[in-house]
Amino acid sequence: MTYFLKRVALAVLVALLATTLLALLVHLIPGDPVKIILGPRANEELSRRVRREMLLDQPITTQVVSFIAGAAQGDLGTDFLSRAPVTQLLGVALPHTVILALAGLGLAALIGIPLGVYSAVHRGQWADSVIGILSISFVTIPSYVLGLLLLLVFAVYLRWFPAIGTGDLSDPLDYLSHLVLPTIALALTWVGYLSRLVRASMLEVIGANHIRAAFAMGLSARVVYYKYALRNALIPTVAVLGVGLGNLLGGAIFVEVIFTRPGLGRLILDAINTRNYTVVRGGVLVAALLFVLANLIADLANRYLDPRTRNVND
Amino acid sequence: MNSKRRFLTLSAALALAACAAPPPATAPKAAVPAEAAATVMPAKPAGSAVLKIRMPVDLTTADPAFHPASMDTVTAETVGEGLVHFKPGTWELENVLAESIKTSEDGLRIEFKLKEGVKFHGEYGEMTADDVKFSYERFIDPKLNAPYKGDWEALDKVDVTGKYTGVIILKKPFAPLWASTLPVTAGVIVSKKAVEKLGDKYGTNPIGTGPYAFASWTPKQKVVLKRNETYWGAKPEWEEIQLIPITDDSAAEIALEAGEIDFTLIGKSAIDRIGANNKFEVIRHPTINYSGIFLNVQHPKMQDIKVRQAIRLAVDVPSIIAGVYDGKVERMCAVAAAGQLGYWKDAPCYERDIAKAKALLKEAGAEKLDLQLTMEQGEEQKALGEVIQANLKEIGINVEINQVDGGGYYGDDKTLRERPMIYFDWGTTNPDPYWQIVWFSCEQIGQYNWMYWCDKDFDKVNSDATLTNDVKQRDALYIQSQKLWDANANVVWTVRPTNFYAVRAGLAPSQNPNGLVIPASFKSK
Repeated sequence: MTYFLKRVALAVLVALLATTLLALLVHLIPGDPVKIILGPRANEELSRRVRREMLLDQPITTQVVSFIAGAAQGDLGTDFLSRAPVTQLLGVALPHTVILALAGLGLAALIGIPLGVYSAVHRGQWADSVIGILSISFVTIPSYVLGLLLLLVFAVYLRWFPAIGTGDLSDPLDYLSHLVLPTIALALTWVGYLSRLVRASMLEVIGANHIRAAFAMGLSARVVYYKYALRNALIPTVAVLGVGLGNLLGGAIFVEVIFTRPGLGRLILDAINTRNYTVVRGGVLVAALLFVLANLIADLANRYLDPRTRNVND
Repeated sequence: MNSKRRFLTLSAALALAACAAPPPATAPKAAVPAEAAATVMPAKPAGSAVLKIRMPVDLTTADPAFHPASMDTVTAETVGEGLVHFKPGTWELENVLAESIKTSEDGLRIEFKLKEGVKFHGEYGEMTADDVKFSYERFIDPKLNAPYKGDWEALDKVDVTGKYTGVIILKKPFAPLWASTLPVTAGVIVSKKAVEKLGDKYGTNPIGTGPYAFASWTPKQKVVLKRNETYWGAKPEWEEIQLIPITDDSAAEIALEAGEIDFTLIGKSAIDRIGANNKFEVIRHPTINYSGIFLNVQHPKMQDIKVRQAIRLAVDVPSIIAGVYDGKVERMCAVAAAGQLGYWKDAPCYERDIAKAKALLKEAGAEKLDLQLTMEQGEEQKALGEVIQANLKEIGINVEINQVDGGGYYGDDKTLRERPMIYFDWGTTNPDPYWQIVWFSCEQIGQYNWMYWCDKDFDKVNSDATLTNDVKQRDALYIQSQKLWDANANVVWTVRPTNFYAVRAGLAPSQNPNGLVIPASFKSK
């Protein structure tokens, strides 16, 4: 219980630091933000209004406290240009990114873990070598390059899948068809990574005494590998998946741009391009919080799954 | 110019949309109609197809008083209409909602008579002169704080003289009104009832009288416009128009090739590939945007005009065109482009002359100079910087290239003042040279006059050009102002920014000469 509280407290502290830094974002970037946002059309009254709305006429401490207090209550400000609450913009974008990241992670786990196990079980054989080469190749291909290749082959030449957008959530098949290529583009790197990780973990576990004992007891190789070895080999993988979810949220930016998907990454990128600080700040905060949350869950899950990491006092 | 970046880039983004023919070589200028002209509208009813046009940015607000980017402008001008507009593909004015419109001799009164029976979309009733009054006066309402207030700065009030008649009364003559206000988004007439009812939501639920009604907006995915079946003019061809925001050019090119959009701006690297495909047509579209190097006349190393003249003579613009732009753009020698009012046909294009440049530096006692060239980030900018760096090296000037992001590029006065040379690439959506030149007045020092050049004569000539509606006189005044500008040698003009668009075969796109797409006028061939 102590560990749980400590870990949650640490996550809250990290989130608080991230929020503080984001509140200061506008002061860390060169130039006058109001001038950059409004451009030459800005008149004095308008500049004053924007400055007031962004609290730039207040002391920095007031700005930070106000942003943190607002964020704690779910108020991330209003987009000056569209007059829409930032939370509303995030509410539209976030589900698409979360669906994409989870689909990517799911696909990566679905392919990467079996590949890793197969590779470990057939260590030194040609299949292991082929999987090794493929895995390293997957790791090295950037998602945006892969995305463009997938688009050229499957959207332009074969026309099997749509090239842009998300489709309509009310039509699951349509939505899924729009999800296929972006998911592959996002997942492939992690297929390679998970495959190598699981292979290494499996090899370590396979050499352990309890596995040798299981073989000695006459259990079948399938039972030993998949029931006993894999269970232990997956423990480090769970921790990595937490980090992986955060990375996938980050990697989704490129995929969202290439596939013109309306997610969190594209919202932030477009906001950066238009110097829309309020939206950038809100979007990055949500991404950071998701990252913190994913890591927290992974750490707690790891603690639960691996008794060796538990302290008797916890 | 951050609305120079925004108004310019965004407007340059406006230019991001389409193109048919290049701007006319001779000048169909935005002249003031002395009397009502005949109304012309798209005249072809037809099929039920959906037209899909790529826009580089998403919708923010289609409220004419705000409209920060190209999607907003296109949406506002497709859903709404003004008293007049530019005839597609030209800078010629023609009446739209005005049955007649004329200006007084002193330029202070613009009398208009509306077409009768024109209805706003939905349940918002008939358009009347009250809507015109509301639409224009709200720009100068201090409570609204409209970014585009400047477009109607000269407005005193709109007097309603009848249900369909009224007078726009100006505080002072302002000739650019006919090119940069009335025919563009700031001239769109909104429904008073709708704006009052929808409030802040009006921007994403615009109501107009146009050939297409706003149907829906799915953020980051599309704006859907449906044909207005009760439109007062000729029935437009497309049943539905989708404006699809795609930020990345490569993604847009793929979407075009996959058949998911019909029209897009393309990157220079895709011109040959897409052009070779007979399913598409590539269109080259010079803009009225402008680019070059600003030379800061107040910088300690640049105060001597001979140094600036030397730099102007050393920069090899033809090499830039060949090396950086693969010969696909044209040189510019003065700010106003061909086809615009104030086009200076005989503007000097300075040929490279190293010997003369060196002699000028020697006379200035500046044979060895270290100068910084500030530019925005990007591969094209980098290549440009390297050519300029190599050019100036030949006359003994060592150039340090300082590539900065947008925030740093549009710095504060102190930062800008310390920069001896800044490469710029600015855009405008308005054909009146006022909007190209206004940024370089004495008043703009520390804002967008990055040359830190103040010439009262230059300011006076430009101011005079806004006070008369006489086209010939304005033309002459703007040429005169460009001559004054040229004499100070504070800009090295380089290339006229040019956009390239791809359209699927069988479709005839429609744009203004600045590249702004006019979806309702797209036609099947």
